[in-house]
Amino acid sequence: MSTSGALQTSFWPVEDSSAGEVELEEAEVTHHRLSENVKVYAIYNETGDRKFPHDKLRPIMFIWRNREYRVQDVTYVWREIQGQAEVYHFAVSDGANVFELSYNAKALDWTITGTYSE
Amino acid sequence: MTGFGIGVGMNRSAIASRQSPIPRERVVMHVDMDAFFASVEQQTFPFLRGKPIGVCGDPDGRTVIAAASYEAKRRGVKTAMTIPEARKLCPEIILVSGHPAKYVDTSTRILALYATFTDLVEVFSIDEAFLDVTQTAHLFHGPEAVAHSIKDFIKEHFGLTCSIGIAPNKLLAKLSGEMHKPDGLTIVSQCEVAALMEDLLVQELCGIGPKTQEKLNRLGIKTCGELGRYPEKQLTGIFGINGSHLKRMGQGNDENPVLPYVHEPATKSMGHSFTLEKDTRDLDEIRRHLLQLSEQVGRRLRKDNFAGRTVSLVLRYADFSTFIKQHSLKNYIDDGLRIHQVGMKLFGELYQPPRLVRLLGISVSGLVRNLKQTTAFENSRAGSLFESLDSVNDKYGEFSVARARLQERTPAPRVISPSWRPGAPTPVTR
Repeated sequence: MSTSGALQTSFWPVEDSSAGEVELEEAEVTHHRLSENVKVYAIYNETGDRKFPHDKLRPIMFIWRNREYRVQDVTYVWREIQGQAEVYHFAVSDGANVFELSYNAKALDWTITGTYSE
Repeated sequence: MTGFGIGVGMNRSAIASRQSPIPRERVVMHVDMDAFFASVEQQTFPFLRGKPIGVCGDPDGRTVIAAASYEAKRRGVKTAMTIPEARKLCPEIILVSGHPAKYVDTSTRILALYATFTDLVEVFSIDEAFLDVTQTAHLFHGPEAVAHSIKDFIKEHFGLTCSIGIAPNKLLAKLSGEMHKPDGLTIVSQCEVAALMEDLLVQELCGIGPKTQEKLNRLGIKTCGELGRYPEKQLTGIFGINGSHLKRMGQGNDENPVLPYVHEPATKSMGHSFTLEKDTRDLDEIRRHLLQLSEQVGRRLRKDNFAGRTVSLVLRYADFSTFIKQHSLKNYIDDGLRIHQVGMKLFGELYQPPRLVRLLGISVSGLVRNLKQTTAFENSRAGSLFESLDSVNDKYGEFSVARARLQERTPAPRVISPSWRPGAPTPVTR
């Protein structure tokens, strides 16, 4: 699907699996909105100068659709309350694209909810 | 104006070593996040950095620019512009859908930081706050050092910048904070106020809008200096009780305290409004939108243990003409369906077919708290059902269980209410 808009978000329910993937394209930004479980390697660290719960967890690598992505930079982290669950969203970059990985602290699972690129 | 425009890179050790006794005059700080929503998105998506972007509700919808990046601002794009207006000024502007949850979480964490410096923190909006550090700044090596600590923390944790004004009151703190943006730090002390106000245009003051400015200009008052000298009697003759207040503003005086958000006045009403995706006269669609809005209002009322007696309906037509009508009930209600029924009755009285409807809003006022125990409460038999439904929605998210008619509901708009205030504080250690 093509729209004249740009970056869209994936906070609202979307189809599970790639069948529900939606592509929003514009000259500058392409966004694939999705909702798939993903295997994430992360460092959990409670020590040191951790001011917020957000700072304790840091994804370093994830495997998505049989491909390995190394996280070069965590560009933004935010927390959202979804029902009783705390969900931590990580915008991560592999140097080329930005991916949104979401960690549900109640269900203890990771989901990839979006990819963004120029 | 020796204090103006102090650079953020000033010698920190010099500040830290300075003796900082408790000052005699008030020390109020105004912190304003620079192009908040746009900067958050540029931080999240590195490929947007350095580019003109505009954050809006829905780039394809009928929303307005909620925030523009500095690159877009330099091209003339301003908050509240329509998307066509923004595109006309800056054709290459990149429109980005807003992420309210991201901004709310960021703001909540930043407010938690402010609270480590003083308990007098007033939330002015999601990206602006006042801090009264009169009694506490000396514990942190003085107001300038507090300002630098805040700036450093925000930069380090979020990659964002803010502009800070420090002055003897809220009016001047906000004014000074806006003098050097982005990433500014401006300090105005009491002895500098008269010189600062003398040639300052009245419209630069927070609280003087275009209508007041026009009235003042007609009196020959263009600057704050002129306003401060104008006879109070004549001002009160025109502006009523506000005349005295305007005169004090012109003199740079503002006695209003920094009011922590937990002490803010009680809620007077709760409501929601929604701009339809397309103008419509389809009554079924209108009924569904009103039910969704009513359910949202009812849910908020119950969450905060409120009930109200007066239901107001806002109806805006495609030509932007807007009508409001309200109806007061005998009993208090907090049930979305009951709110909807009253709303539809009001709609029937207001609507002029076949005009196209652009916006619908519904609110409940005349609120009281903790009324469920009394017999005046309407629908008390339904209370246990609401409790059950609310607990499911608390657990699984809004509208997990909803009336069948709302199966095709419109996604909640990506907006943050101007009355937004943080909920439970996010833990922070210093």
